[in-house]
Amino acid sequence: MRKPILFFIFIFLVVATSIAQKGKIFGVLQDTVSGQIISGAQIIVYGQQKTSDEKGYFEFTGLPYGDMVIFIELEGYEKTSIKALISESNPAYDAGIVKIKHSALQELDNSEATISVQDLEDENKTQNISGPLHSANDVFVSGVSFTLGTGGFRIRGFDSENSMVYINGASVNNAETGRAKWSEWGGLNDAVRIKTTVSGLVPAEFSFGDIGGATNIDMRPSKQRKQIKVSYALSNKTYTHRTMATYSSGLMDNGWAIFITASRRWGNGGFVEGTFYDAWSYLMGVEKKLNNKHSLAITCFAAPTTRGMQSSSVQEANDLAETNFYNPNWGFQNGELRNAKVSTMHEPYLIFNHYWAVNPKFKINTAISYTFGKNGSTSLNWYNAADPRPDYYRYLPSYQTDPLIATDVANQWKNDVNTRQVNWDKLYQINYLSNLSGEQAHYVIEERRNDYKQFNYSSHTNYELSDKLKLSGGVEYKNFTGEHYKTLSDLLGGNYWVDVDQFAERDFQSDTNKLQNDLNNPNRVIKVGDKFGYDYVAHINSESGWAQAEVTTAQLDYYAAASIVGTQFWRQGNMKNGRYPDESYGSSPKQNFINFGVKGGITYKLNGRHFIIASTGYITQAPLYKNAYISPRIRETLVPDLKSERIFNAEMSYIVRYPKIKGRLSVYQSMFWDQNEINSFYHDVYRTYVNHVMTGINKTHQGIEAALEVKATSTISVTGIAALGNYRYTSRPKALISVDNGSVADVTNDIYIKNFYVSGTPQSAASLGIKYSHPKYWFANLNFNYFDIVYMDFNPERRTTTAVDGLLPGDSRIAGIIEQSHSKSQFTIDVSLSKSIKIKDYFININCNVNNILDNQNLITNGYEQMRFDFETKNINKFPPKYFYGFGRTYYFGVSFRF
Amino acid sequence: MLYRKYFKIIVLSVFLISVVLSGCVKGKFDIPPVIPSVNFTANTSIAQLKAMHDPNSSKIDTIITDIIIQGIVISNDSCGNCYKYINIQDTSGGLTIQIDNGTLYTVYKPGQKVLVKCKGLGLGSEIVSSSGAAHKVMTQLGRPSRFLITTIPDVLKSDYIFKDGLPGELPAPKVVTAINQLNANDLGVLVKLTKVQFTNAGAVFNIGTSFPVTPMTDTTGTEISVYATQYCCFAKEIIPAGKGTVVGILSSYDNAYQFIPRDIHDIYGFAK
Repeated sequence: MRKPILFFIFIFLVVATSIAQKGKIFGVLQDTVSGQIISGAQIIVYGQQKTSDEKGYFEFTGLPYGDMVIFIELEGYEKTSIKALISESNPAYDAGIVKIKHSALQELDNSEATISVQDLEDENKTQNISGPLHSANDVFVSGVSFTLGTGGFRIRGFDSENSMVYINGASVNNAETGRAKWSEWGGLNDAVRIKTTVSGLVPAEFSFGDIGGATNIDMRPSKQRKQIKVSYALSNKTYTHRTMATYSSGLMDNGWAIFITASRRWGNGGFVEGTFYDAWSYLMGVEKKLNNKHSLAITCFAAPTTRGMQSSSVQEANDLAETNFYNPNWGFQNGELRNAKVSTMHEPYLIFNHYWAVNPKFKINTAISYTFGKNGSTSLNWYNAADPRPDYYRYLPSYQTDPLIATDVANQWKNDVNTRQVNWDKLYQINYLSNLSGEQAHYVIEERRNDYKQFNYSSHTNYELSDKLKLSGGVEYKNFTGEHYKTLSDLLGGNYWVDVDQFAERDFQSDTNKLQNDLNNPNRVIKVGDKFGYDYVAHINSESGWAQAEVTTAQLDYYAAASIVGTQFWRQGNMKNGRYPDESYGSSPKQNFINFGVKGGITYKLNGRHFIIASTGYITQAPLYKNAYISPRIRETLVPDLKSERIFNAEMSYIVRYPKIKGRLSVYQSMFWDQNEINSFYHDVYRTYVNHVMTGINKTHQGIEAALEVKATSTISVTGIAALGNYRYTSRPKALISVDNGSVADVTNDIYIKNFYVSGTPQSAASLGIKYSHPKYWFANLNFNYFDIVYMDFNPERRTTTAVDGLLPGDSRIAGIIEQSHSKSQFTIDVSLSKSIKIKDYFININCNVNNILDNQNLITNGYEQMRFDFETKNINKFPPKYFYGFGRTYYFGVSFRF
Repeated sequence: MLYRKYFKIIVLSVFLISVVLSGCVKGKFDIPPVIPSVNFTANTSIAQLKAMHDPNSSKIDTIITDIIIQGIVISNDSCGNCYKYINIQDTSGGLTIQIDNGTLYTVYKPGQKVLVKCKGLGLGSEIVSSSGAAHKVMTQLGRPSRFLITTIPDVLKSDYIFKDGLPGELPAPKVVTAINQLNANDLGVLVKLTKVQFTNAGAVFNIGTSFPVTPMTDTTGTEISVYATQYCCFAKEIIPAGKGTVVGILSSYDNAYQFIPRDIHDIYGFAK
């Protein structure tokens, strides 16, 4: 694996011996009003991107002579551009003190999504909740995060597991899911303002990256703006109130920098009934600059959160409840609203940093991080009793064949809240009756725990060998354990629970071993707080290294990078499952994978204003743990023929950067091979739970992205972005159906989904925004957003020969069964108004946003077909799809004081 | 300048205190009352209600007046031999009420006193099997649907059936020593047959077919069918030999009596 790296480095060293560049631009950034120096701002000159240091200083070298434009961007400040002329007579341009004006902060919350998809049948289909992507310099990416995120739009249709997220240089992607969870630092808005984002395979200073790009959030205390700030916000989205307080000392004369911020967000149901919210967050960071070369920092943060979740339901239930935000999870208990699905999270992060500037051109930064804590969500469980979920299909009018009875059921739904919602009082009564006869509880609340511990070491170096050549590289080590188990959270008035599997109990009536969840503790009586059901640990270790060379010349820039990753994972079972006594207890064999990635690209500078960028890359990735085991909760059996996934990406962009016009036009093609997907659901033919494993999934994501920002006058700017996408499955995967309790032998199927659309994101989206900035610090924004159709996640079982068996060619039902359904395209309008006021040394910021001002409540952001399918009657409406809706009209009003 | 310093501290403290105090209180949830009661009484006996329907008729009789009956639940579907109905009994007789729920014993335990507001429900005595053939059964209370009596939808059951108090004692079964002592008034009633004998002892109650009956005779040789569905918990149990006692709900199917034990404890005392 080392060979390609050396080869690329060699090639670029050769190329780098072309004509030397003499031009240089430097300067210092300052706040117009307060005169404070500004660190952490993104500065771009002639295609190069840099960040202002803790003294506000920036410097570009190796520039060709000619007219240059310096672009400066930082969240909370007006975008600024200044012209600079460098020539043979004046090769070094001193921009002097560059003053930038603060603007209204656009506030985004990192954890807006409330929907849980943890219904039994689709546990693996967690909704993709990616945090706001930020890129100060990319019109397209910054436009998307503020306007199109609400409609479920994902850049290039990628899952968040295809993007890398770092905090202070430490990787925060969860090794098991591959995803970074932005809610882990939700509410720490002041700590995530400084970010470096690279989109796609563009070279980053801190990581090899991934095809979905890489982001480094810089919480380094010395880089934070010196301030004391308190703020309050009122909203009707997920929370009602938010308070935040921040203190940042900046780098003090004694070499220390202190950064403290905390917040609380709370409310009793925002847009969706029953979704109470109580989220705190805290961060403490201390940095000591030892000397000009070394700085040490420790940062500790967490966002302890408790919240009631929303589950999606079928449209029939939404219609009866007369809202698309019907939430079946809650009900009244003794007159008080109670949610059955409560998610609780407290996952503190500790990050230790060493910043080492060997010399101004050679930096080595090291981060050691550790995260641990609790992550759980509750759910109803029941034993030999009626399904307590109000929207169970048999409780809906459509289940009735007699229209008169259906009408009665519909009226009951409309008029009786205890029919429409969880009837807690009934559950208590049933448990109480069980107590009288000494039986176990029929209904309980369990908590499914996923407690992660992740240790991460990463070190990266950036070495500017010459004006033309910059080398970067790094090493990373990750040690991960994920503890997965259930605990009993509430007996709902019952006396006890017994740890047996009721489906096994039914399928293996005479076998008292098979029904045991833990043969080491058969028929164990479970009380509140006890572990039961399943208990296993996911172990994942990985080591990686990467190297990158970037060459800058007058006309052309090149880069090449390579990475190598070793991954090892195994399962450790803490329970001996009665269905799989030999495959459940103890440590499984270890799986080892070695993977690599290469990427390279070229920037052709037509002149200082026009650029053409082309890049390509090929990456192999070890299968994610969640896609490696057929049923990791109860056994260690691997997915058949488990292998690494392969990804190819190529893209080309045309970029324009004038002081008043900025734009980008890109085409891209990304191809994925050998992906796996596992779904668990109740199968109507086998009448029990099955694990459905699809292997050999190939996909292609291709499309065009366009963005244009025009500063029409000194006060008005117009931004337009558009993404045309075509995200498709390109293979016919194999499916293995493995009955969870082993009562039926495994079955293999072909899944006919070639050329199906990738679900969960509009294939295309566009937005047009007008921004007005009054010189007296008034700002107004108006955005028009368009979302193309969203294809629903499909049930693979409906795309099999079995599903259409018995239907003759031409039968109209065939199309209904196999065709992929989709939502309608939608349109929304957002407006925002803000004002900044300065009174002596105090700054007051007032912010008011109204999203989706036309109150469009039919915006389907995602949806899925239920995994149950009635193979006998082929009636696709028996288990209709479930949808997620984007919020209707929401408002956010915030005020902050800074001094 | 000093006041400014204090001002900052005061602003911050007021702010922090307000955060702490303004929170929503989340305590333990209250446990709801678990003893049900009703504030109305029955006005009709089960026998009077059943008399509103001719058991030989294939039509249904929908109840349009405010008839309220009461009775004690004698059925138990925990074993699966009773399925999607409860059977209640008062001093005048017994009645089957069809409900679309497979675990009714969690809600209506044996011994539970219930009151039933019958208005809107119907009486019928004919069912149609999955093959489409019509069969005569004893008079049942349920939801009228076209020309049949069907189950009351689960979400509607609490509109008709009201529990009163906690489950108590079951009524004593009617003890019968000779099958020919049974009469139409005993349909839907808990009956104890003594000194009875299974014809095919040694076999299992149901080997997994949809043919769910096993014959049984009394001392005189009079035969009655015992019902055991393939899904019930004693389907795979061996049918005992010799003479013993069987308790169950007396039912009828195609004009012949059928005897429904609720679980294996209803079959006892058989001599080895």
